[in-house]
Amino acid sequence: MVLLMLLAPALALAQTAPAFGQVRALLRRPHDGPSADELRAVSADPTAALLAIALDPGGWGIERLRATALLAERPEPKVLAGLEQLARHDGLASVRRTALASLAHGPAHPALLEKVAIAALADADPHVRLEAVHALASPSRASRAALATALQREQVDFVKQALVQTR
Amino acid sequence: MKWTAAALVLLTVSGCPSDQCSADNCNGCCDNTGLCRSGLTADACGVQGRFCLACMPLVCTNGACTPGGAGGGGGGTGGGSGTVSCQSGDLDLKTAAPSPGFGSLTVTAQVTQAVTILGQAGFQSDPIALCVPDDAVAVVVDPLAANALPSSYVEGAAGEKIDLSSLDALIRWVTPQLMLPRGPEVPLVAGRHQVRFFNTQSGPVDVMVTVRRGARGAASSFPVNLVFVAGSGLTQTDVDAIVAAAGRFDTLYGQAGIDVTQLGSGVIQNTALAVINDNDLGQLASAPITSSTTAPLIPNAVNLYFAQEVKSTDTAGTLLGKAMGIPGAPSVQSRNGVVVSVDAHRSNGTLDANALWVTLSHEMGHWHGLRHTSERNGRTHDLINDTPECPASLDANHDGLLDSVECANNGAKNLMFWTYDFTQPPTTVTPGQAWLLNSAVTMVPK
Repeated sequence: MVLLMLLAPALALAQTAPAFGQVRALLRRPHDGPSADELRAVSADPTAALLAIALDPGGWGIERLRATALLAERPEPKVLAGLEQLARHDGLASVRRTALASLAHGPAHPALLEKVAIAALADADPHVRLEAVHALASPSRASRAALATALQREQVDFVKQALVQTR
Repeated sequence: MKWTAAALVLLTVSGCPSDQCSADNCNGCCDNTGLCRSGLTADACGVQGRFCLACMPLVCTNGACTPGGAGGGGGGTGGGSGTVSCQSGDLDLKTAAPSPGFGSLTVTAQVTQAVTILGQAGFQSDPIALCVPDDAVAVVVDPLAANALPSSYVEGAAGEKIDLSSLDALIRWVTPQLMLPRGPEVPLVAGRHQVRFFNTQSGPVDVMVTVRRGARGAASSFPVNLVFVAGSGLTQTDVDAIVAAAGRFDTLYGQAGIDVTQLGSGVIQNTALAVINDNDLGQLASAPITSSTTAPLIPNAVNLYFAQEVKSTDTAGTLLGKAMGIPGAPSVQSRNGVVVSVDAHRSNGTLDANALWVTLSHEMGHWHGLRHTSERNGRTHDLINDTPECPASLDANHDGLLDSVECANNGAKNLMFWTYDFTQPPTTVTPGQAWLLNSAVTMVPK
């Protein structure tokens, strides 16, 4: 019994490692990413797998981008924290942008979204800034002020146009 | 969702339920009513559950449409008795003006009067008639309207048909270009060809026709332009990786006797296009490109666009890459190349030349006219006889998808298998695929 208890984590890992690899392979395939059913077919806990893949800077970009997009449908607190971390700090601009989009398109968390999006208005990448403008489509007083400040400093035309349209 | 609607229209038109007859239960061919036929007759020719082809004026030899008949030897029996004579008023592809940069090899003609899709029943146009010259190697017919596509067959003056509808409706809808030849078994025959067009609505449709004339070489080369989209976060190290990836094309295309001999480059300065939806690729293809001074852009080359990210509008995710047509055509601006998501091919921030090479090779295969050897459900295959097929019966885990493991001995390593993994790159191109690649409109024979 004691032996079984000691072995349990290892056994669980042995069961999840192939599944984790299968989730990665599904995320890497060309033409389209996996559906929710396909993920469930290979992983008992697809959310955990998707979050781990999204947060792994050593993973392939295609895996991380698709995992981040799929996290939009999963409202758990650990997912929200992960998306916030990605949107604020990830080294790939496309991952930051996708994380912000997932926060915006998932179940409503207006306070978190506003906080992350306002920070993203100052991102170095114009497409992240554009996503932030779109995320603040129904701005509060705080975000209205942030958008006005962003408009004053914005140099890139297509972002500036989006900012003007929020006024 | 729009695919579903389109597929419904087409299935209604063809009257062909997709699951009735397949390689799983038919050694001959499946006709358009879903019945399995022997596949050995000229009106229903084919093997391994492929869609039956009506060969006339060709003949059916062991399940393949061939020009010369079983006795063979004489080829076209008198220099072209298998052809249908052209008529006055046909679009004569021999007289179309050469397109710059390709000498007499490729000409492009736009049908001067838009083809009108007629009425509600069938959403089908009157046919346009093309006069294909004797020295034509390939013809690409491309309806430029968003939702139009050529009908599933090409027909001659006597009503004979070369049926192309083995490709499922969904795929044809997404990539509405029609290319002849489709492979060694469905060659391009000189003479009169009529093509009709389908659409979900009536109205005029502009049509672009591209023809390649001259010799079809057993070996060829094609020029490539590397087009970088500003704002995609590309560094000099990234550009070096892209050039390295282009240097590996010969790894697979070399099996087909094909190499890239010319490399041009340029930059799209519009940073708004660094992140782009796949249904907006026409914006990318029509954006002004600033040519490099050291490696100037090459006219009529395949443009390989490198953007930060290409987003799929249908699956809400990132695409590795996408061919702008199957096949594309350099002369059709909206279909003049292949686009790749740069960030999708990064690991630890570093752009991986090997991964990029795999995606580019597969997508360029599409762009030159190759289709997937097996689609994900194992029920749809290309029209090339020697490509390995992975049938639905090999779906061991019954998930409805044929993966690389299940198809390990049935073509998973082919360049054009429906899925690939750049950690385990494809390794093979068949002689039939090589034949079709060497027939593509952009290939320059050696």
